[in-house]
Amino acid sequence: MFKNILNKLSNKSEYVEENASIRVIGDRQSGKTSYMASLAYYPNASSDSFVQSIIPIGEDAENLVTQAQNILEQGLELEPTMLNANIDEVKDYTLNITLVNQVKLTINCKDYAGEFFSDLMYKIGDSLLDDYLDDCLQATGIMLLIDGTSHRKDSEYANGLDKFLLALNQADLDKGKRRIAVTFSKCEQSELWINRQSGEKIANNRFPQLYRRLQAWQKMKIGEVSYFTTSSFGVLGSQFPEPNSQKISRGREGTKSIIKNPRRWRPYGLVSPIYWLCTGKRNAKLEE
Amino acid sequence: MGNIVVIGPRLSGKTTYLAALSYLPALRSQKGKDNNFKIQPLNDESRDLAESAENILVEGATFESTKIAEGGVDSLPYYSFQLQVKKGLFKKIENIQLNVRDYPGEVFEKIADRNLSDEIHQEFIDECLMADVRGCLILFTHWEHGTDKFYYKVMSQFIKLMDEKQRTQNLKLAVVMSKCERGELWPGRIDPETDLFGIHLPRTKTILQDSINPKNLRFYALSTFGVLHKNDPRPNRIDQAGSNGSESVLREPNSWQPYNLIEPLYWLSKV
Repeated sequence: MFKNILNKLSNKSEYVEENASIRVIGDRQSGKTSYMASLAYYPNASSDSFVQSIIPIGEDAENLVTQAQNILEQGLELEPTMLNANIDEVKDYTLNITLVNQVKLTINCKDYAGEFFSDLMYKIGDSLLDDYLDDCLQATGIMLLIDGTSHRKDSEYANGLDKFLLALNQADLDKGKRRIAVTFSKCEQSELWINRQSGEKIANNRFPQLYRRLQAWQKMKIGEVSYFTTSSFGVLGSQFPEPNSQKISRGREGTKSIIKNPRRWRPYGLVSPIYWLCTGKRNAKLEE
Repeated sequence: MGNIVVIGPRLSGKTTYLAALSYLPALRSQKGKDNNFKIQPLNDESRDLAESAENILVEGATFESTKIAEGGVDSLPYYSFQLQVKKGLFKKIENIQLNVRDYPGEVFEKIADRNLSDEIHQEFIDECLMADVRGCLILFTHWEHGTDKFYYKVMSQFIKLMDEKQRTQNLKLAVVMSKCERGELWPGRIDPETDLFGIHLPRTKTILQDSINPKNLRFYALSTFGVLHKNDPRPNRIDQAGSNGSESVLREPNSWQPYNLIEPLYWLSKV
């Protein structure tokens, strides 16, 4: 496949297309909707970015843009996404991402309610939960979004993940290796920002139990794991990076904040995990 | 780059120290002084601290002692600083981002209790010894008869906790004698390991040296208040009665010249 991409890159008239069907899962307040909204609204971010364009397709994705305007232009706090009675009602966003190196990524992305993940941690044998799990198994890639400041919940995450991995292992394997992109959100926070280019280190140092489970799962050779950092808000300034967010509260669940200066919105690392989920390769340009 | 914690007993001057750090840029510009180090506050918390430093340190009021708030360890502020270091004429400028957490002294003193059933206390210890923390600045302040024994007790327990969390080999400790403007301590600032810790806190020094890898351990002297003048080494400090005993304020804010504030942090942040 790699050769294939190289060939296509040398032939500049043609785009390399990669597709993925992704599920974004994460605890309440992990910033899933903010992440999705920033992604959908990305075109307005920066002209010198490695990401050329992100185009939302369809009604659901267009609604995301409205959400983005609320979060990023008006600095509003978002309502939590509610758990739907039926898995078919979960919004399915389609985004077309074009990179400067002429790689085109098309993703279908479902944004689950945070309750899904907390139910994973605490509930057993719930039929709705099973429906969600089944749906998750249809995906080619899983993005596990974790608030990087919620490290005190490490052991709970590890337990929830255990159940999730078990379900993955029991599913049929004809989809090939599964990829899980563990993505730490809210990395504009100073204590995370300094390690933004070493997502695996953040995992190992702040979420040791979660990290160990995932590494063990990877060793079973049925899937791959990679670690990423992201910030939907980003930082202000480059020589003196300050979080472009205003804290509302901080607790065991993590950090809640709103954007500080909407006009200087510059998200960090949004596309990097998606690129990896689509291609199996990391792209350093997306993590600068 | 690194995440660092400041710990130490009550009234050892932790918050005052951090406030002085955040206020340094303003001090520098006042005096037009340039040095090897420049420091700049980087987030809301550290800027707020700089503002209170202006109001409190300089105008002669004192800091409230840091309390264990309702939110437990999550409510502790994270101060963030950008440190610019230029050592030597032809060396490149190093930019280091430092994030510092200030712990209530009460928690530190409780370490010696060995009664760790207290949930809040456990939270603080977990957070302080988390693998994401690169270094600890430990501020000691008393050196009277009997304090060596107490510090020794706290440190041996702390080392035990470090061992439990597998941090004995990879956590840097900058052990600092604070408030070195005090006349009896000022002359010992040049070689604090021998002349301050060796003399006044020998048991504390020994237990640290016996248990910590020498490359991860250093002794420092610092003074947030400093002395009046190079030729007038009287402390630039007045002690006054406060709500928890004696508290100190700047004597002559206009000639404020802190001593050795940044060096220990710089060392902690180096890989």
